[in-house]
Amino acid sequence: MDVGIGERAMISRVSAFLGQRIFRSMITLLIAVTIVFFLLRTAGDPASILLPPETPGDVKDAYRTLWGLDRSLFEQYVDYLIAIIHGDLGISFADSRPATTIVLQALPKSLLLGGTALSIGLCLGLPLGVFAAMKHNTLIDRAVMAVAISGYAIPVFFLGILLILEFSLRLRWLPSAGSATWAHLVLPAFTLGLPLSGRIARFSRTAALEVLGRPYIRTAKAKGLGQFMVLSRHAAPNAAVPVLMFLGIEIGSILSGGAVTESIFGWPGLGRLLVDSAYNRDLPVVQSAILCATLIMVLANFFVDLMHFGIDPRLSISGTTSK
Amino acid sequence: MMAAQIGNRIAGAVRRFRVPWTIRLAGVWLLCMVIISLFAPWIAPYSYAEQHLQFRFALTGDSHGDLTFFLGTDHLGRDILSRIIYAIRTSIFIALAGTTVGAFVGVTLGFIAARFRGFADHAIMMAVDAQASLPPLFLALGFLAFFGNNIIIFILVVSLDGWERYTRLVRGLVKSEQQSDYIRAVEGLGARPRRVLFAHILPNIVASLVVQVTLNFPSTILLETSLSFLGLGIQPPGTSLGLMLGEGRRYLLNAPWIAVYPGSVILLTTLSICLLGDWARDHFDPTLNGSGS
Repeated sequence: MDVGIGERAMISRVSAFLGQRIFRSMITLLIAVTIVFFLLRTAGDPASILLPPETPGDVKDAYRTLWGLDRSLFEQYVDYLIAIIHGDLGISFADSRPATTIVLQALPKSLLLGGTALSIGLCLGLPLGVFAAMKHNTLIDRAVMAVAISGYAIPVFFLGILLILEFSLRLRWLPSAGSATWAHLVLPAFTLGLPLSGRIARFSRTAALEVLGRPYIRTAKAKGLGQFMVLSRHAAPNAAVPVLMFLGIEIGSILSGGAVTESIFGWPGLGRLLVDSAYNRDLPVVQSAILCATLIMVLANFFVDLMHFGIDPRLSISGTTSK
Repeated sequence: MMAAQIGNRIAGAVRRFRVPWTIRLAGVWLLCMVIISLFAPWIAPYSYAEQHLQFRFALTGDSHGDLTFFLGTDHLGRDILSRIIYAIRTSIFIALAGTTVGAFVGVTLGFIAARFRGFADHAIMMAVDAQASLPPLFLALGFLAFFGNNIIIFILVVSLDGWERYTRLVRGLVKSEQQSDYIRAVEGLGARPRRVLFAHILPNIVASLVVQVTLNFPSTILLETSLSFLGLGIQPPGTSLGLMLGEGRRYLLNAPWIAVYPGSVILLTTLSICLLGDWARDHFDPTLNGSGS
């Protein structure tokens, strides 16, 4: 068979797959947008919720017109979809700036915190998980898994409080609230990153065990390859696929955990913004924050799919690393 | 009949496998939690709202005359031990109710998707995808912000976490069962779809379902406690483990025990369920044999 034809067929398969994924992502986004819209709008009349009860009727009506609440739900929905495409999600009830501006202002702080936590999770979790798998059924394996499962079970807010208690209040090494300096990042990042590393360790251990038991690893060892080569060339690419998929799912818990962490440490990110806006019933900001989180998750999962093609030896386009 | 079946399997497994001490310990802890939540009013030394203002911030084990505070008191002089006992009751109840609702909805949708295929299947799987792409805490916060907060809404919000996992699991399991020979044989004998589903398929997938419930339960508890911790869940004068932690957070410097005791209870409970769930999955889940994760 001509290699060129095989390659071209592969590329067309990949692009078909990606096209399908993009389509599905769009549908998912649309459904999420619709759910958010209808759930939040059917909750009650925002004009009655937000304005003081003694507000005169005509003032309420003026606000309803201003916020577009006087039209039918369907009209509001169509307007809403058009507005979303233009990136316009309304004006914050609380501080009269566009909701998207407020959300975009908070986003970089959340990405910084989430990214740092993810790095901590990967740097600690991956080596621990692989190490435990290599020492399968030994004392080391059990010890690592005991630590990992504690990380799995500990509530983010409790870990945050324990860290504040020890490192801010007792030892006075690190600040417990704010985001002014790099020192402020340390405690929230570890609060979010340590449980994540536990989950990653647990999952990557399973993935590594699965791969290390496969016949092609035995073949590679039988060929006389050193342990490093077996691990890096044969085990790692195959074990990376489920771990990557797992990370795609974990983005949701980083976002959720981030909301709690940001609230504890006064970190001015997306999650804290959502919690505060939920408190104040600031409808446009709540909406924008939820949609922003959805967009992050959809994008993250799309990139996971892209990377899946990059690393999975069975889907490799070039064919040089096929097993 | 089904419960007896599961009971027999567990009893058999306890005999066959040597149950590790960690799992036994986890089981004992969870049993204690269940007993405490069932008999809270009889176990708690005081009422959870009873204030002893002259004994605010009492230390662990402080005794004043005939009043003894085994775990100290909080900023209003309320006995921490009593509050924890009632809080366990609230948290376990909310998590159980939320899990029940979520599992019921998820399983039903999974059955519908597998039974009717076509449009229903597509629509349900799209909803599943959408739910999976919304972080549960974010959606829950949105819900609570706009529907206000009462116990029914709160249980529904907590049930949002996980229903899509049940749907996915049940749909996959039912579809693969439908391919198997014994179902074809039963269908060939003329059994109605409903009978096939409930009398033949359900008993065969119930073990995987129970395992999934166990694996999901910790995150349901964490969702409830997180929301209460943030002040958007159970409201005072009610009490929940998360709410106690949220209140105790303000007195960390001088009275860390207010936050640390309820936090430890949450940790031990979720840890126990995690351990038990893992163990149950390894020993009871038939889908795990061969086909992998």
